[in-house]
Amino acid sequence: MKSGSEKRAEDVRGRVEKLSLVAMATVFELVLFVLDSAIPKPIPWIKIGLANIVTLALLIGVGWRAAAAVHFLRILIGAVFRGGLFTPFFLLSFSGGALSFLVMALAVRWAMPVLGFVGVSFLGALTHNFTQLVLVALALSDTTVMALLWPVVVFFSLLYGCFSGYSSYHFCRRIPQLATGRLIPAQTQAARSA
Amino acid sequence: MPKLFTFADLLLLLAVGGSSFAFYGFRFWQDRFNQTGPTQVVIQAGKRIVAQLDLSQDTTLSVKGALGDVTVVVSGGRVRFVNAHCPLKICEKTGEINHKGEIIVCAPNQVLAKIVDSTSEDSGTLDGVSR
Amino acid sequence: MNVTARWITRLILILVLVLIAAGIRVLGKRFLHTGDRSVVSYVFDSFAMGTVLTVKVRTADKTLAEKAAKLASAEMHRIHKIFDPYDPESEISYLNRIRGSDSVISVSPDMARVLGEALHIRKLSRGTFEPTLGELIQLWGFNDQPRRPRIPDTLRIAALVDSLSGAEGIELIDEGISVRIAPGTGALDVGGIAKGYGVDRVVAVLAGIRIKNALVNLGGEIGVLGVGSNGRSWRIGVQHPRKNSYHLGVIDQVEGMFVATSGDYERFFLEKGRRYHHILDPTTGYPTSRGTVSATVIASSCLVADALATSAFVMGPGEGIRFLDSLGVHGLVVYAADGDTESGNLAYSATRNFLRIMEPDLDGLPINPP
Repeated sequence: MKSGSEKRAEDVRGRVEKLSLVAMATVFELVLFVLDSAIPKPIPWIKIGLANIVTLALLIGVGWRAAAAVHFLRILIGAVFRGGLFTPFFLLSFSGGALSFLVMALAVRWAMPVLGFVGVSFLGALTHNFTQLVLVALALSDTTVMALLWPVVVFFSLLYGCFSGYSSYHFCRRIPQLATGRLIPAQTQAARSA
Repeated sequence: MPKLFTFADLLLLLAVGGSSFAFYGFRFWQDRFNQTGPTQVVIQAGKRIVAQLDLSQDTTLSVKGALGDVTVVVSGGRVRFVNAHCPLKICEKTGEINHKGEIIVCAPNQVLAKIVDSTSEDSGTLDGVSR
Repeated sequence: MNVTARWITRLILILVLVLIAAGIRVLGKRFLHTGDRSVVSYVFDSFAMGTVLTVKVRTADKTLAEKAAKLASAEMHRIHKIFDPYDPESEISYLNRIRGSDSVISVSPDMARVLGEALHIRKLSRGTFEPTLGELIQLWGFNDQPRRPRIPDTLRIAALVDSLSGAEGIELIDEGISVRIAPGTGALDVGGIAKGYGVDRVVAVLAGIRIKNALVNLGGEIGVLGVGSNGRSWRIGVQHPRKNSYHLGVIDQVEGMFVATSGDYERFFLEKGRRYHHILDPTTGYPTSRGTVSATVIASSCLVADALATSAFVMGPGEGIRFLDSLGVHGLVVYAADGDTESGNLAYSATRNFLRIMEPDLDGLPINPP
């Protein structure tokens, strides 16, 4: 039976673990995000969604709270990097990011394991890009050009979704803590082996 | 850990992806039957309509896009893109269009050319002039 | 939860996801719905009566549109064959050959209609509108093929003007089934109003084959059926008399309204800085010089609109607008503010009911927006 202070120590270390996890994951996502923007693509404004690889991995391996923290922190800091914190572009990417996170979180919780990594990634990419398309069309009050382009968006979401799904899958596989579906805090492991 | 790619995934991808392309194809097929006499091509850069040209008159037009210029050529009653400043040049490979509803898109540059009939949907145009 | 329940849940979840995907597709379709796609505007251009005939038909039936085009062209040619004074086999040429014989000749219903209206308007306009200026028009050469307009000899003009008694000598008998033309009557040339009549006839023909929405434009004389692509009216611009690709404003033309414009910019030549156009003043034999630059009339038939436009042009802004007002038709006269039609200073005078339809902008609006 643990003493009160030992339990509090556990809690603190648990929280520190969580914090460092979130911090590292955020950094990782940011790097991926910058990389994503730097890679030349046939249609520059449809992102590959590299950062979402980590978001999805966290959703599956840790939990939605950690994933949400990392995801939204990344969007915020990423926007600061790109100089667009209080601009309409930020609103655009934020909306796309928020909605796609919601869709992916729900999909992980309810559609898995029926759906696999690829399916969920695809949904995330689709939601993100389609939201952006819709918002841009509404903002410009021009639906015709955008409306003609949406199957292109679907196509690229398909492509990129498959890629990030694949990456996320192997990312999870190689990190045992994520693979088991539960992140085992090192402290608890130590307590067990003790 | 969940699987990488399940049957449900496949269904989902096929359903969404397939239907959007079927939709594209259907629209063009449908418009092919609505042929009109003199037709025109509307050229847009982003939201702005840059020009509305008659297909019967050979013209060459350079349109400024997001990444660079795209040259639109009207010749022999058809429209095509040449010298497009974009990485994949899908627009150039689209070739020539001349039926109502057909479009060529240079997505990176957001330049679009679509065939319309002479009375366009633009509210600024007149149906005739009394002289 | 047992196995079956779990499978049912999963099935429902897949269904929901597919429905979301379908919803996305439907949204895309809604954005693409830019109007009633089954109705298309068919445009047919052809050459008739020495000018361009444009027929626009809005229908979902392509065969019907093509039939309309053929019938329109055929009818226009039929009318041309009757009223073309340069065709020796036309009815009007025949009338001109046998005029003065004082015999009673039976005429076609079309000829009767046009002559009847021409005489009627001649009376109303107190001779300003004169359908028997055939010889004068030929002297000026505006309608020659190829066009070689020139200033005729002053004496010849004077002689013609003196000798002609106008259409006094034309008498319609039995409500126009026959006609008697007295000697001394000038050669009939109803060229201008024949175009108006042609438009009326084509509109009638199209209505006859049950076309609901169409626009007939013969060289600027316009008649419409039904509605245009905005679902309400056809948008017709009035040509700016001095700026080629500009118009003075938009008329929302609906069925039953016909628009005709007479202008000094259509057939003219400049000599020594002076403009000689094709609208002749019957009293002088020369192109009118009261400063009118263009006259536009909206009336219940194109035949009438055409004739009145010519009359108003000859009368000038003051008298012309008063005349149109008295008849209750809509009219606009654009004239030279300082009397010099070449200076570029324009002004306009219009009937009040015209101004309610359109407020002319003399600076002009571009016909094809950039």
